[in-house]
Amino acid sequence: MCVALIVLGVLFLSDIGYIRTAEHWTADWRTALCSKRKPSQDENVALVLFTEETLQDAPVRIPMDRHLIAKVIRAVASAEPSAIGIDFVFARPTNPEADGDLIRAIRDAKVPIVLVTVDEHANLPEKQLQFHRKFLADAKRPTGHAYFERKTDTFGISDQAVRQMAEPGHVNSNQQAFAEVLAQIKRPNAKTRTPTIAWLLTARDGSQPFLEVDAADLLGDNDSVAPYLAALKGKIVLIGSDLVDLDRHLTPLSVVDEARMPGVKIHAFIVSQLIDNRWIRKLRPAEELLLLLSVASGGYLVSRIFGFGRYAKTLAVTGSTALVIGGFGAFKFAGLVLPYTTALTAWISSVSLGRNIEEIYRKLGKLFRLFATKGRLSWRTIHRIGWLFVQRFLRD
Amino acid sequence: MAYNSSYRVVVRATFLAGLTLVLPTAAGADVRITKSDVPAITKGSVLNDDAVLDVPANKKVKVLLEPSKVSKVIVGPYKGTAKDYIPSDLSYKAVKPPSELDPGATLNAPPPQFRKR
Repeated sequence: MCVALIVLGVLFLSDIGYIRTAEHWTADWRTALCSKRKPSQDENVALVLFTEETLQDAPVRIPMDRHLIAKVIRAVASAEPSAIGIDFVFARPTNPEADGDLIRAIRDAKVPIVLVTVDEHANLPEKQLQFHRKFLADAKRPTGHAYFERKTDTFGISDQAVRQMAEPGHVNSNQQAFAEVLAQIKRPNAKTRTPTIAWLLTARDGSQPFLEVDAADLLGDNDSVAPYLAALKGKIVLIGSDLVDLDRHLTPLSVVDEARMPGVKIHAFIVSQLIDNRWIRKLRPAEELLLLLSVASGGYLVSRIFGFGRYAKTLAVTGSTALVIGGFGAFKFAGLVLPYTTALTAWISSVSLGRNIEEIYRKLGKLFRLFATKGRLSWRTIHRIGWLFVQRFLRD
Repeated sequence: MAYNSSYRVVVRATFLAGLTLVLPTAAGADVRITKSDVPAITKGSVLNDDAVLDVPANKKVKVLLEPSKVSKVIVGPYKGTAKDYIPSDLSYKAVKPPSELDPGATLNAPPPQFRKR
């Protein structure tokens, strides 16, 4: 009974914003330290990035010169990649000639191209949304929505980190995700199993998770461009921006240095995990309940039944350490994100309860007796006052 | 005697054949500098894979290794070859700064013709 009460209390706690934030924080550290490390760079996905250096000499920074984007698309297409994903939302007209050139580059490419799309969630003016839809219709290429999902808190400012893909049903349209459409070109049955993003760390040979090429490096003479094109061959190439002030997001990897990641890189992680069929997930409610019941029962039994109650502090510390290590292990080897705050609270409360249960019963008994006596008295008083009130009312 | 001489010929031929196989591989193993904060290491240069890169603290050099076609970001301080560079668990991230300055302005870089030379 006591153990069940602890578990219920802990489950109630887990819904409080601050506790959830602590849970995210611990999960983020597990992600930053224990995510998968491939032997070498991902062989399926590469990035072509428009950086500040790429746009250094462009007369206008934003919106980017669409002639330039068209040139980069043509260069990437000439490398014979598996597919190209373009992570730019074209939402307003620029120079009509450049707009036309970009449409032609997208339409005429001999490789599959997927474009990102947004809907009303992007809060664009209606005019821009209309242009965006027309652009996509003219391009005649498959599209996928560009959204990630953040869990926000009712109280306070949420931590703004992107930890998961947009869950089906949370986006207005019936669009598949951009990353999912791209992954299905390489692996047709690629499907989202859990929304949590499975990040990759630097590969074991020291290379970045994905090949990254500056878009400007694809626009030189044939000799200088050849090595980059050879590196892109056969990969899904995502083209997007890596600019200092646009489309940058906090992720679990930001827990170390608060660095923000360009959106196109987050899409790359999702494409990669869909192709690799690599998943991490949180416990389902029934699994979490079972875990908490086991932890709380274990703590209570060890503390009370087996007579270790007098070592309650040592038990609390040892058990908590075991839970923390177990959590890291479960993440690394099974891709499971165990709930730390609830499990630790359940353990420490149950160990403490096991030790002090006699005293608690005694105090509770005292309280009940006091309440019963006072309660009887107060009931009698209320009854008397009520009767006086009724008499007076009848008299009037 | 005849056996010895033919033996030597076979050994030399094998050695030469091996050399012809190894040499192009060694020559093909290059390090292409794709981005650099270090003045001594220029962007676009191609180095042998045994070239020692000296990257001072707080500087970065991005390279493309050939023929493996993988990219690395070498974060200083580091002195060694690009292929041997392996960041420690969290070395690709800086330590969290005690405070951060957020520019509260829209970045509006002028066109090149208006920039100061």
